[in-house]
Amino acid sequence: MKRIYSNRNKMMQTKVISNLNTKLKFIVQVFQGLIFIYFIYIQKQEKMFLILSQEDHPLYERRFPLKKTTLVSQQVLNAQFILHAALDVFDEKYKSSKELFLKEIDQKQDYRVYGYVTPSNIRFLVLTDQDEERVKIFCQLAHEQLIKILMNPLYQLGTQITSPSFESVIQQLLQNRLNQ
Amino acid sequence: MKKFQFFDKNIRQQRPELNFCTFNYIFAEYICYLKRKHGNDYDEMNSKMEQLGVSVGIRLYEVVSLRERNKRETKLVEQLRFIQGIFWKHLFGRQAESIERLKDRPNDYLIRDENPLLLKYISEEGHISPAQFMCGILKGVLNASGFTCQVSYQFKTDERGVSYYPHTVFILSFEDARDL
Repeated sequence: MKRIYSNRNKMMQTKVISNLNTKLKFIVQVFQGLIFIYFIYIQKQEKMFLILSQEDHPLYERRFPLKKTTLVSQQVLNAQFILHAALDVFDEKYKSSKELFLKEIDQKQDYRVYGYVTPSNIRFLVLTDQDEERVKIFCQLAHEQLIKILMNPLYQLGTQITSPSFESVIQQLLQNRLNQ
Repeated sequence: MKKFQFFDKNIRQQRPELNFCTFNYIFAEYICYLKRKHGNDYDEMNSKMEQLGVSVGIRLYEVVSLRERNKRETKLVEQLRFIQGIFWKHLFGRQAESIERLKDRPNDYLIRDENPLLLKYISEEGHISPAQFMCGILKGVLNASGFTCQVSYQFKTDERGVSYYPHTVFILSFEDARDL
């Protein structure tokens, strides 16, 4: 009698444990599914600020790479790729416009590419999710700082800007104006 | 912190005034230096002056655009008006006299300046002249804003050979007919 009873106990115990196991597995699977959906719909994009000369030489680049890679990493496009792909649209727009700030050139979900041209055809490109006004003010301030670099007679026009103080000033501007 | 001081300066509102004699002293010394270095090679001397003018022109164009007005120009005639009016006034204190176009040379524009400031204390020699420096400035401005051209100068002389020095005419020859 005792053996049968203990056997029955054991069977009941294993049944309870296996029930728990399946429930746990189910919960874990649901959780994974939710994370999957989260990373598809709420995409995080790299942000970038790029300065190009008239002959398409990059004078200055500043990227904000994502710190953690997401689960679906193929859908996170390289910010540089997006900016360079927006260049033909940019070219059309700036050759016919008298304005300096060219507003939105391209769009990818929530993130937009903004363009700005200086009188000597040096182009700024910003990939961000901020709104137009902020980007315009940021571009105007960055333009002033760029002129200070240009006024240096030892700076060769068309080469990369390597001044560390320029980088720190641009970083300050980005933090203040674009919440980067 | 010393590095930041340079970038904190405001270049929008400054209208610095410089003593002309100071500038002339340096400029005359520069011409003497070129003469010493290259001797009788007038082409080399002229091209060096022009190079200096080009780099000065691009930088000045950016600064003057920032201070005087915040627009770009896409049409050539408007750009020439800007150079003749605002730019010339900013550099030399007066506007250039006129913009002209000859019938038999449809690709050329002329900018006439009856009393260029740079030639005030420098005599006419015939082979080299500070007018080449001014040609360089014009070339820099026009190339930077997207209109490629070559600039040369001529002093006005009468049919009888009477020279009206320093009355100068700057000849802008545009290669690309689309710019016109």
